[in-house]
Amino acid sequence: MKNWTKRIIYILPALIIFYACTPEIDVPAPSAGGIDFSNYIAVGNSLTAGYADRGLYADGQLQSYPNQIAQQMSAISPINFRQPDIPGNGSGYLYLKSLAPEIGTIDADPDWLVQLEGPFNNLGVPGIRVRDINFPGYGSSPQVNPFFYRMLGGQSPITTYLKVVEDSNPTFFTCWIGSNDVLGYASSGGSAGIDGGQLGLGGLTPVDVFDNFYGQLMSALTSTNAKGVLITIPKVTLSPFFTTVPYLSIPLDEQTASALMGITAFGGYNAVLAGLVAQNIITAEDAERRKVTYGEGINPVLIVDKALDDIGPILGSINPALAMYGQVRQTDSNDLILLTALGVLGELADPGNPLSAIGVVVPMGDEYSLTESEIKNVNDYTDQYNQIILGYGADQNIGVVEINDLLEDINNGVFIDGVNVSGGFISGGAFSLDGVHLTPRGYALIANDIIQTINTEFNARISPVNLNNYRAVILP
Amino acid sequence: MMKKLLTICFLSTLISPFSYGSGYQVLLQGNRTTGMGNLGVMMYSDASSLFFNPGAMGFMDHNSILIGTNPIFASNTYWNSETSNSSYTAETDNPTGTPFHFYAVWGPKDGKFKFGIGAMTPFGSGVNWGNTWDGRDMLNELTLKAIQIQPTVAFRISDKLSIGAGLDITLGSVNLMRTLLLDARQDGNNYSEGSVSLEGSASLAYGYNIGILYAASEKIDLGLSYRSKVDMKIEDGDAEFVVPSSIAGLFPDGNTFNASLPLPSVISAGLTYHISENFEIGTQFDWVGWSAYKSLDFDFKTNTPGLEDSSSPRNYEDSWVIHLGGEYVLENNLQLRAGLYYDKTPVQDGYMTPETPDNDRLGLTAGIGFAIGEHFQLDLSFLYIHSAQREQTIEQAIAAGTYTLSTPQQSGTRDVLPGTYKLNAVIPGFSIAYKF
Repeated sequence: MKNWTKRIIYILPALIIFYACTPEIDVPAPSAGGIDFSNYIAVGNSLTAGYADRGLYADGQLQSYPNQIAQQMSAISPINFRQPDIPGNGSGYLYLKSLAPEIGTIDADPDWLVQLEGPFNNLGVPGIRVRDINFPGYGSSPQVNPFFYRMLGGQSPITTYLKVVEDSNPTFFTCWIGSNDVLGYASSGGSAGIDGGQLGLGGLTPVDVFDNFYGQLMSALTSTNAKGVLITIPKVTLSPFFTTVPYLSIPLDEQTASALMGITAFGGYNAVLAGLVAQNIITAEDAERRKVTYGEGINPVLIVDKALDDIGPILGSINPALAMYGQVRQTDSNDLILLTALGVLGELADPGNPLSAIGVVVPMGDEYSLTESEIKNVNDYTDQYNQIILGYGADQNIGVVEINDLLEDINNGVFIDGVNVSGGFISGGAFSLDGVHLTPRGYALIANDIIQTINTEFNARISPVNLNNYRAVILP
Repeated sequence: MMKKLLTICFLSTLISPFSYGSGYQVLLQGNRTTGMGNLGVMMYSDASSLFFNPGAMGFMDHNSILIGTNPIFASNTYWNSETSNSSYTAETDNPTGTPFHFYAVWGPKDGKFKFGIGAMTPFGSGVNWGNTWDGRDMLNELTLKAIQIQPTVAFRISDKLSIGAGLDITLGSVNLMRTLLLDARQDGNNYSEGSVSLEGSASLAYGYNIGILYAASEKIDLGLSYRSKVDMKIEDGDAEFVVPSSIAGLFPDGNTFNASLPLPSVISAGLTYHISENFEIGTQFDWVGWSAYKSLDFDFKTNTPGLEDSSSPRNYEDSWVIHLGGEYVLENNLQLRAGLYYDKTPVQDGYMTPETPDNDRLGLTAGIGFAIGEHFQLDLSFLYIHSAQREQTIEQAIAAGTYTLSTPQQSGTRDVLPGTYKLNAVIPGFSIAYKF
């Protein structure tokens, strides 16, 4: 009997060990839907590289959306997803210094331009446009494109981006490229025109060029019969770079406003315009557009609009001080003021002259705003590029993520995994301090959109990332 | 102008209501009873009657000092079943809970009175999900302790009937930690999330328990007891916030909080049937007044635009437990016990928080007891708690008001984490009694 008692004493701890294991829930296992993710290649620009806060640096790169996706793919079967690792502070970047807000800069890492030898899985090259993919020498020196230069270790300096993509032999790919084909124009306020000056850097890529080059990229990606996902081009005008500064941005008290409207100031200017209408030099409609009105409260901004006829010489002949108002008007609700305007708005054009406030008395330069017609150009080109992308996406091996649906959701605000994300600058959480690129949390939203498309398109089951594992703007 | 862009709204989302505790009752107050499916109210063989039914104490035929403990090995699993295709899971790494009980019962030989004092831990909780999991904004870690000290007296009215009453002097403490989902710049270019720690001791609170035992016949004993509700009140607990220095002004140092947590009333009724000299079986029914737990409120001494008082609905329902168990005594006075009980959860759909991701529980128990010499009795018990996995949908949480989405500007708050939870626990125990 004693033995029997002893046995129970031994059995009890054994039972404890047996049962104390973690309670199991029947969780469906992730699956690849028959796709081989082992050589997942991500083609794209800065958004794909993990660029944020006006720089590519280690923390941002580690949290690039392709790296996030690759980690989720690795839960199915481990893959080695290689990025062109950038050291520490990388190319340097912006940080939030105070909630005022003050934005500071962090210097580049001294070694950030050391070339690395591929092959890489993340082929995101900040700055690259579709029209650059065939450009021999695009990575020949840090002066052309430092980010592509970094990736060409051991390769000919005239290697094109297209060649790198061709050599990548993807088993699966994502491709998110084209936003720089509009961003150069949009972020310079359309000031260089559609042609965009030298190398077309400030312009819009001709649609036929885009189509031709994008097609070549697709041939390179699908030559191995890889399946993949294309991501359309975001409407850049939905980003805080364009939505943060309101068209009404000039606060004035009553005294200042009435001084500005005096007969020696804009009161006189408006009278001159009325005179030009009376002499049939300009139409009444044109004069109405140019008329400047300030009152107590928040006023529109005085801007240069190159769509207006230049009447500077006429005005100058009446009064030399008016010569600068040749193509000037106040903003209306159809205009967008760029984030870069914060650096000049209200500053004195002539430090010695208190009556030279930019955007109030002195018109703000064309490069700081997008007018209605410029916005239309940006959106028209974006739509045409996207039609081309959707065309390539019609292939049954190719899925498409229409990213603007997501951007609109973000701008309306979303609540996921306990975090609120919206399109607001700094506070919104999705966009980084440059107002165009995303935070790791913003990129997580992109990653989940792509994962969802892979899952539905190819019958896979990749688990989405957890949004609150990825940070928003770092607070001081 | 830019200041406006930084609306206070993103600060106000930093602090949403805190939460803790649900089925935080701990029924481990005697290893003889634990072994028998937690039967207690109509048993009078040992000093744990002081807790289960002071009336039964009057029937004790000896004096006794009893001490015991039951280490709790419990773990919880979470699956984010409410996100399409998610295979995200998290598991707790709970500290081993160590509820204890101590009783001393004495009465003059052949007298009608028995006097006793007990100390036990009828409520408590220890959950640790860590600070990296999906629901860390609601809970990292919770430790809830309540200790009751109970002076008790019993009076045997007749050979068949005894009554008793005790005063429950309650002490307690709570410690809760959660993450603030924002990123603060540290030295250099590192960053880390913010956190909240709430820690406080409860002021002394008083309750009582009363009971009656009726030995209806040689075969049948009946018991009935009532333990009153006690409100555990935490006053001037320490509220510590780790936040980015730029908003530290909204979370002043040295802030304190008040909160209160009900320890619910319990009514128990039970019956023992003595099949033979050495074989008895019993059943018991408990009614637990959990509906007293309406909401969890934190009242901060210093409020700021970033730190408002919070109230998080709990809306527990009254719940019940049904027990069944028995004991067989072998010839050499070795006692073999077994039992089971079914414990209905007080937590309604939509109110399931990470502190107590509760579901109906089935407890399976076994135990043995034996005498060591003339004066000592050793009891060992083993309890396995199984609960089925339970899903809580976002819709349920929205309906309960514990998950909000505002429109058209979509922003939200959450007091609960929708998803699927599962719990199990293994609880061995032993106690030793000195009889005289």
